Amino acid sequence: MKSFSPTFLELVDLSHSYGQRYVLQNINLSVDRGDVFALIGPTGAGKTTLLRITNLLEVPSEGEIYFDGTCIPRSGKQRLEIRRRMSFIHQKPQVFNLNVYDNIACGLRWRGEKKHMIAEKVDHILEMVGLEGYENRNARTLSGGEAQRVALARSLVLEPEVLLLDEPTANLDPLSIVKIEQLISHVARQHNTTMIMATHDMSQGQKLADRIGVLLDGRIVQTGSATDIFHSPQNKEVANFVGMENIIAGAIVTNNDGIATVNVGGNAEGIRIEAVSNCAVGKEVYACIRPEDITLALSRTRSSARNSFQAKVTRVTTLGPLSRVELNCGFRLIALVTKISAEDLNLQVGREVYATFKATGVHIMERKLANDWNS
Amino acid sequence: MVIGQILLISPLLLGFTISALSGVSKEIVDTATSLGASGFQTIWLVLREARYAVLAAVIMGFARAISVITTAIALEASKGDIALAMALGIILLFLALIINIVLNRLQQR
Repeated sequence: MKSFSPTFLELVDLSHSYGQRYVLQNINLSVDRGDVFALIGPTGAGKTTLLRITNLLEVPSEGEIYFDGTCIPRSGKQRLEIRRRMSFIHQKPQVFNLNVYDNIACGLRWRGEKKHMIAEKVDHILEMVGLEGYENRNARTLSGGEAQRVALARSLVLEPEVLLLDEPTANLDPLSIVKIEQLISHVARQHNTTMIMATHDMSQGQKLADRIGVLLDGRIVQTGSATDIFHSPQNKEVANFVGMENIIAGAIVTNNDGIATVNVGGNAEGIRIEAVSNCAVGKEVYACIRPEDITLALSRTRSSARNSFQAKVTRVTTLGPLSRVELNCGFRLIALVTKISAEDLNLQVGREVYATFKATGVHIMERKLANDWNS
Repeated sequence: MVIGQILLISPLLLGFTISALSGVSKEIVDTATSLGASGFQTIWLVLREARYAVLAAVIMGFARAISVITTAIALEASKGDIALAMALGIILLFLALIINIVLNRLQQR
């Protein structure tokens, strides 16, 4: 039925349970050849299970997997053949108690490659991951970052058509993370490798992936480009997860050609926010504003931004190079500004400032829809 | 005699080998499978992962087996055949030495 489908990898109506507990429900996912797909979601959402099923390590309770046009059988030799066309890098790198060379060569040996071909490929990949000269070191004696690179090399040397990555940079130092990320995007570009990557680090998904899927509680709640997910989340749960810190309940009071006014004050006079939305008048909505889309100034700025509110600073916390400023402007608003500008504005508790954001920076989602997963 | 030895050491050998193999984590098995190992290839890898522990089990079994020489020494000595008892003792010492050397070599690899 689906055998002529152009999609490279497809999961159809997939569900999985351990005993009574469902860990995955109604997963429908398709990834084209060469796509980098990021699965983001909190720990325990089912990301690892989904990857394990895709790697054919586990048989799903319900549903089918299509790989390059073929429906994968639930048992039998074909599973090994198809598994050999992919590679899965597990979250905790498990290096074998062998030297680095043997670690990287084992996948090729299992596939019956010729000895001199193996030597050539391993040499090449060692150079690529920056582990030349490590051939005879026991892999167990390596540091976490090095072990992760061995694990990556061990998978990449197989030149898989599909690469599955489970939290490839968890527990690594920032420098190792940069190296691993560069390698991943290099491979994706050079070999046109299809990748599915599970991560809880949203910025990583944003950096590396063509498409992102949000997995919450065993369901894929939303898929789309990074911009879709981060700026137009489909419901409150996704919005919360992607760092949409300002989610303000309100109702649409007017709508002129796609410029909607939202009353967030809770009474008839209220406080009005202008937003770009086609939502009809009277609808109960959430107005979502990303904290980094808000600018702060000491006087009301004359700009194209349609929303400007007088606000009082209620709290300032420093997050590395940024400052997270909590404001009260009739409703609670959180803004992210650089630490320098927070110092320039002398942002302290009680300070009066103007908070400004554009109508295009406000994402409107309907409130009734918010809890309806299936719509 | 040989059958007796086998009966004597096989439970010991088996027990230690099983505990050695179960010391190899489930993740190693999963990793091997993910890298495209077939069933037999996975078993071989797991044996290699646990090679020192398996080796230790083999040595243990061997030690148990040659310990009957001690009994023979005691027997010969009590019969008054001191020369034979001494000879057996020297053989025992050499066997122990050789095994230790081999084991040390293997572990240093």
